[in-house]
Amino acid sequence: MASVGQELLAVPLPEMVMKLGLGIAEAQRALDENSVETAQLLADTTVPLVLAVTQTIAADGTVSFVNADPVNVSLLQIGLMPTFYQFSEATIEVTMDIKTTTSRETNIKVSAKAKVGFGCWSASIQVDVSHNRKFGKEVKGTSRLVTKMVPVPPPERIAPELTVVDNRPPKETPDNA
Amino acid sequence: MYLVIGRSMALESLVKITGGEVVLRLNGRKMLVTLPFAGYLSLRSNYQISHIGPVAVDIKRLAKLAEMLAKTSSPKPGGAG
Repeated sequence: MASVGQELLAVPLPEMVMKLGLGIAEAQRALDENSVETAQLLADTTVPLVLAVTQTIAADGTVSFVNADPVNVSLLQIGLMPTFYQFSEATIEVTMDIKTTTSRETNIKVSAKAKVGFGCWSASIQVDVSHNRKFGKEVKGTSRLVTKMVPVPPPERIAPELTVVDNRPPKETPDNA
Repeated sequence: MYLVIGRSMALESLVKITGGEVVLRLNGRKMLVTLPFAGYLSLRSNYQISHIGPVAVDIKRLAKLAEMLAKTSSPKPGGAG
């Protein structure tokens, strides 16, 4: 009969760890694919952005607003970034409840018989012995897998760096003329 | 916040049914919405949704873009203005 120690050794922990790892890798790939697809859609979607509004107050006190020409910018350019997630922690918990029982049962049945007749007699003794040995084993096991996901910053090069090169000559004024 | 792209024009009602709110309508089939996580999971498996993905606003990048574009429409620094 297998001991409790042997039962514990029989737990397929390496296989469980391997399957958890593969499951996490598969889920991570799906998450990354979704984020990359979202980034692509954000880059492809443009919105007209009004960058300046001029408020004019006339001499008679009336106020008017004039919007600057809208500039088409992608959602990625205006700072909408796909959220990237990463599995930061994985835990496997295995709980086993092992119960072993052994019972032994011995039955002895003794019967005696005697006969007496004319000048003779006979006697017999019958003994029946039976042994029963029962082994019982009850194993209950539960396993629990816990993973933790955290948002991580998007890759730095996911969006182009914004730089301004202004080559316009400075306006001439009495100070710098 | 999520970027949602639908297959039909009934996207907004789908978002509202799942407890979400529309933040920005990009067109009839594409919008930015806020959703509870259960709503996100529900829409993910909805055949009327062609794509749904979480997005976040990068405030630094938005500020930098606004600054950059403001520079291009403002007088050259160094001038009297």
